[in-house]
Amino acid sequence: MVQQQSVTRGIKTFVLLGFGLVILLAYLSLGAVSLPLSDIINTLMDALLHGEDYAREQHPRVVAILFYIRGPRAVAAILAGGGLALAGAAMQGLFKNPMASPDIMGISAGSSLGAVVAITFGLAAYHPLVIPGFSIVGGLLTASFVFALAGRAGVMQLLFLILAGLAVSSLLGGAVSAVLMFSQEYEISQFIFWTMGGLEGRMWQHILWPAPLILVVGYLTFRLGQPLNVLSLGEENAHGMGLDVQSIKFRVLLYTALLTSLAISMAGPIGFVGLMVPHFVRMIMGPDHRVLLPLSMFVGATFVLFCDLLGRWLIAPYEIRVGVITSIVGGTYFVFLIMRYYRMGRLMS
Amino acid sequence: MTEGFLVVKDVTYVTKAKSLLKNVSFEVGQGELVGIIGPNGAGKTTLLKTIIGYLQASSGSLWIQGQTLDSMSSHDRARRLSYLSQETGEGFPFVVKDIVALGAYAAQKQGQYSTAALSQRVSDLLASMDILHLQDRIFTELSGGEKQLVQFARLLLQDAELMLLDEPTANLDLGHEFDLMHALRSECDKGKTALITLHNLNSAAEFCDRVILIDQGAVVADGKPDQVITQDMIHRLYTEHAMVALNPHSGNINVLPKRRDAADAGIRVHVIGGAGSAIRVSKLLRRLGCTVTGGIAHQDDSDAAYWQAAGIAYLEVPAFGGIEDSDFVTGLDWIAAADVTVLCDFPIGLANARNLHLAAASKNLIVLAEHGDQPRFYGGDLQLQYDALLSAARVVEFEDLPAAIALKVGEPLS
Repeated sequence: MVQQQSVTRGIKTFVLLGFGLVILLAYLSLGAVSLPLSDIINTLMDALLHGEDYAREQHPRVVAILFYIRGPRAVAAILAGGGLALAGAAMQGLFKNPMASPDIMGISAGSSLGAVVAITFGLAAYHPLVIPGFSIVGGLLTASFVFALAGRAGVMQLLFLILAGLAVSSLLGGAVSAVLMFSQEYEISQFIFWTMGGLEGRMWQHILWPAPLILVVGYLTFRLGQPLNVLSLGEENAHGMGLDVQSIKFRVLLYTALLTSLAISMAGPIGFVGLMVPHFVRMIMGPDHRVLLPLSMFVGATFVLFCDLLGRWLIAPYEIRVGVITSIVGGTYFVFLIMRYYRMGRLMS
Repeated sequence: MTEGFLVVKDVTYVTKAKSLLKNVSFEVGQGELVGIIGPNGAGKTTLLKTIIGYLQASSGSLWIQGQTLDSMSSHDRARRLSYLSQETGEGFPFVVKDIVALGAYAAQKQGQYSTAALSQRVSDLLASMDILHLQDRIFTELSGGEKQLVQFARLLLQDAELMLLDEPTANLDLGHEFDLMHALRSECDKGKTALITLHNLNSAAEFCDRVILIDQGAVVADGKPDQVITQDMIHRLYTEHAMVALNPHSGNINVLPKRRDAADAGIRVHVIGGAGSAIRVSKLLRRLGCTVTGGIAHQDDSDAAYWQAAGIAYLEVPAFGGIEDSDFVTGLDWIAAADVTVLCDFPIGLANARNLHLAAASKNLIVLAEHGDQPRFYGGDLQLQYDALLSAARVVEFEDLPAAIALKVGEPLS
């Protein structure tokens, strides 16, 4: 029985990983300009064996597209999708609730205010990193404020967090509208564009500094897998089992806030990834957080890659922004889930 | 036996609204199974949470094997203390054996248990508890009782020296409750120590070495079960509608429910019985709202035991002795004071022959019809005396007793 279970689990993992690789290759290959797989492989081989300059001489077109357009964009998609999904998985584990998501901390609203400030004060024009920088600062400030507010209630509970997040979000939403009222039209459209969440034009410089942070925080979050399992028996029981409950809660919230803010700073607020992906992974792999956390990160990355690929490819050479696609796919998935739960008569898969 | 395995001294826990624990002090020795009892809201759960360190005592001190909680890492604490809370563990659909294996969390952190050894230990444990069939089930889909047993298995896997259990039997049926208490008892016989909150006082009496009674956050009594669980305590803290009796089969005290009696009907009935024949009669009469008196019974007779437990006034003479004149005179007074006297169907010999004379003295006598193949009268002319009695009395079946009494006193009984 045990053997059989771990074998099917292994096969499922293998399929998921293989699917992710296929999506990545398709992402690099397809688009307004198609790059045959053989060209991609040859170019990569040349670059690895003889250096980038040699590869550039041999395949100028492929190198330009692969190394400077699709490559960094793929990495941004992977990090943003992985970060959001991992944050969602940890958050749902902490609150033992599949409907929890990093969004409830008001991070999106805080990031939006940061972005809108950067845009309307004309700072965005100075450097491509100004908007991401402002959005991450806005997101983290908001998260700390929401934690402080919810933590006042003694032991932090989901309901307090949701209420505090809602209150702060609507406050910040009002602030955003107020700022926009005094803005130029082009600034407003720039902001609205940002809120859709998108990956076009991501370059290495956008990724360079959030990438290592996401990886480090991601690793630290993976290590919370077993503590989150223990926490699933309730805080009092978990305490009795030797878990430092308050410290684990704090770490989950801190890492979640960091991952979410970093992801949003790279790709804008991409909806539904943090809510849907962990849910999907839990449904096929079970609730063990030691498996769930890393796989959610992987599937989240795959999912955003896939959505961005669709966005680039459906009406090429025009693009649909990735946030639009994730919301459409995510919304559809949720309608499906609601119907499924309704049939089963319960709310946990 | 080391005294003071757990020492709780002057522990107080105060919230803004009220103080939930007031200067609680007690000690638990190694190998002891100690029950904490008390009405709802007495502070039992708060006490356990304070001992495990989930709640920080406002004042007072706690030592486990001479050490304070603060001096231990949380993993060390988990090796010495384990806790089964009332949380149901609702949440994600974990498999039962994974839930149980979580009990080894602290041990694994300290590098004990390989994965293979752990899964072997889990199946062994589940098998020993007779719940191996649950191991691949989804925890959240189990019944409340099954969940509780799985949680208990998880607690046992933690293998801590002192186990704290908060109402572990609350969701269990009788069989599972006893299984769990047996398992706990045998853990303690092997040297573990347990502190357990219980609502079932009968289980507490049967399985616990000691019980600590808590009310309104303070220790009211601490001692052997039969010293703590008394009629007086039950009436004071729980309800008027229960009685504490010594169970002749187990030698333990039992707490039994008692139906609320009808309003006082203003009728006094004296019941003459023996050998248990008067129990159901007394019970019925009380329920109808009559004031019941009983006797004359011999000491340790089952009727006497019932009357005592039920708080019914009765006359008693030493076992195997005769009925002396002084007792008989008192008996006559009681008969005279009663509106009706009921003579039950019980064997009569020389030792209790005067009960027939008592019956004869009653102006309003009801005799319960005889049902039994055994000879009822031993010696002398007892049979003749009884027959003479019948001519002046009314003989009825048990079912017709209420109607017969109503007829005698001239008013209906509810």
